[in-house]
Amino acid sequence: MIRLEYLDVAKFYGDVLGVMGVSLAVEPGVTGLLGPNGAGKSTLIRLAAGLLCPDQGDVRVEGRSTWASGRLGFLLGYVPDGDALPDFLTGRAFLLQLLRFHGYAAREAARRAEAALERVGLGGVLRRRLGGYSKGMRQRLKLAQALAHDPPLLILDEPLTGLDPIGRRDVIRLVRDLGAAGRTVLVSSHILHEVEAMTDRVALLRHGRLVAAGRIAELRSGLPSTPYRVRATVRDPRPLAARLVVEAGVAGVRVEGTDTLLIETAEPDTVLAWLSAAAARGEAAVRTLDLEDRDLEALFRYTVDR
Amino acid sequence: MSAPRPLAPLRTFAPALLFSFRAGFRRQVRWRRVAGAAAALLLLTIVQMAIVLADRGRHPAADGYVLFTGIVLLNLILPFASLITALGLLGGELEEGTLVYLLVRPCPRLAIVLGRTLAAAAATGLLLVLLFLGCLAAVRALGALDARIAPPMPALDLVLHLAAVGALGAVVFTALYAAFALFLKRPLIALLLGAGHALAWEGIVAFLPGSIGSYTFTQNLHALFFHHPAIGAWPRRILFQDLHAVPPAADALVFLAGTAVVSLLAAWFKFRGRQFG
Repeated sequence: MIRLEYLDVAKFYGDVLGVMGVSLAVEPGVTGLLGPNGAGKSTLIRLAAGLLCPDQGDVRVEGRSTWASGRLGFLLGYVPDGDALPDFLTGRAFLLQLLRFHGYAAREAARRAEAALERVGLGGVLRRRLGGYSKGMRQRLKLAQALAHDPPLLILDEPLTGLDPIGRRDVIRLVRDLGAAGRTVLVSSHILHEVEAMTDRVALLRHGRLVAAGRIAELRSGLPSTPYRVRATVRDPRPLAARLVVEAGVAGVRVEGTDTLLIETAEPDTVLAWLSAAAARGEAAVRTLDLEDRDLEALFRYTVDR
Repeated sequence: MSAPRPLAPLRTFAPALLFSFRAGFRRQVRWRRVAGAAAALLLLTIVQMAIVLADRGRHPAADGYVLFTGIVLLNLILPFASLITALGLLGGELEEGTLVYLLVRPCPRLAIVLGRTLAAAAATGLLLVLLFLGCLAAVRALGALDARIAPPMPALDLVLHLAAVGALGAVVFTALYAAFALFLKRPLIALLLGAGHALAWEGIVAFLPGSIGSYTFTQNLHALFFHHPAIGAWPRRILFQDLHAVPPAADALVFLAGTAVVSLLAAWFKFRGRQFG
């Protein structure tokens, strides 16, 4: 089990802030790294991969700095965000070469290369030159090279880019499986619902600073100043709205159209239970109930996208 | 799941060096680019040949065109060809992102730098071979026009000697210019400094009378080139340089190898501390 730690890390590019004051522990399992463009995701990823040296603080794996660490290469599987590959090599030859750096003999390297390519769905094209790979295939290959040597730490920079829906589904499943198997996986992405499908543990970045880190539900419940929204479709919303506004925990009620209530509350479970009970007693003709912002998107909206 | 055990650096050095060389060579040798560079440099070579011939009032075939072409290539074309390949040694790959797959592996950075330097030197060598063949064809054509001149066929060992000296020169120049490229952040500054070195130091100082020329690559390459016994009777002078006054071959070899090693170590030192963001 490997633990990746950012200890009060700052990184500048000349006068431009990359990240500042980031302290984060990435535990075994999958952690999603989220933030808008320029938030510092790639900087954190490259610091963890040992490609950048922090200007302040330290990034550590197993207690050792990642910068200029010879040992990190044995522990790390890295998927970069760029699309560049040595196009003159076949997929199999590329992995074979990289595996030789880890000291595997030719036969073992070949076995591992083929297994990794099979695992990401490239078993049928392993002898095709990379120049002939589609964007999705290149993305899968990048994942294969990161997995082939069985590293306990995986750092994946936008691993879903360029994949079709089936590819996305496969990779999400693979990442989830890796996390469940005890690997430490740090994955950055812009696509919130896909990160949510991989993990419930996230770190949110904004303007180079870490604004939240932890489990999505815990983070969301820790934001009392931003109430949850419950959307209910009912036959006659106005009388129900009048009754709801005096209920404890309801911050506001708005009627939308002829049959929709939008309820803002800090206690969504209480409101949902109240509405369900009212429906059961025949006091309200509730057709649907929907808790709108308990998910990652809401968390992102309230913490990052303000 | 257990963490993999680190390997001795030497076990990863050879595969890293080979991969780095292969990837670097494939990147450098894009045939259209090579053909374009060869065509441009061929013109330069022919101009330089014309200048030297005018100086000596001779026809190239009369003295043995292999030697003549070889010395012309060593004098002017080798530094510039090396400069072109060395400046693109690592920069382009860093921009493209292909190098990152090596940088995150247990792969010694010295192997990356050495592999890429040798790849660039090999690409320079390939360019020189193409130029050499082009020049030979041109001189033979000239000779064929004049029935009184029968160009002598090159002896194989002489050609191999020329190739060995050229290869060493390609490594030395490439290592130096690679160090320039790694130490100077702006490629244009590295290009200007490299071009200044090639023109002023290797192009002028190497041919000045006195001992200062013995600190140039060109004069030391001449020393190795003219060390071959078969060349002993060949002309004593090209422009201002007395070819028989060049340093002893052993001194030249030490100077060239030493400079190459120091340049490579400097490039490695700089590359070790380089960040990739």
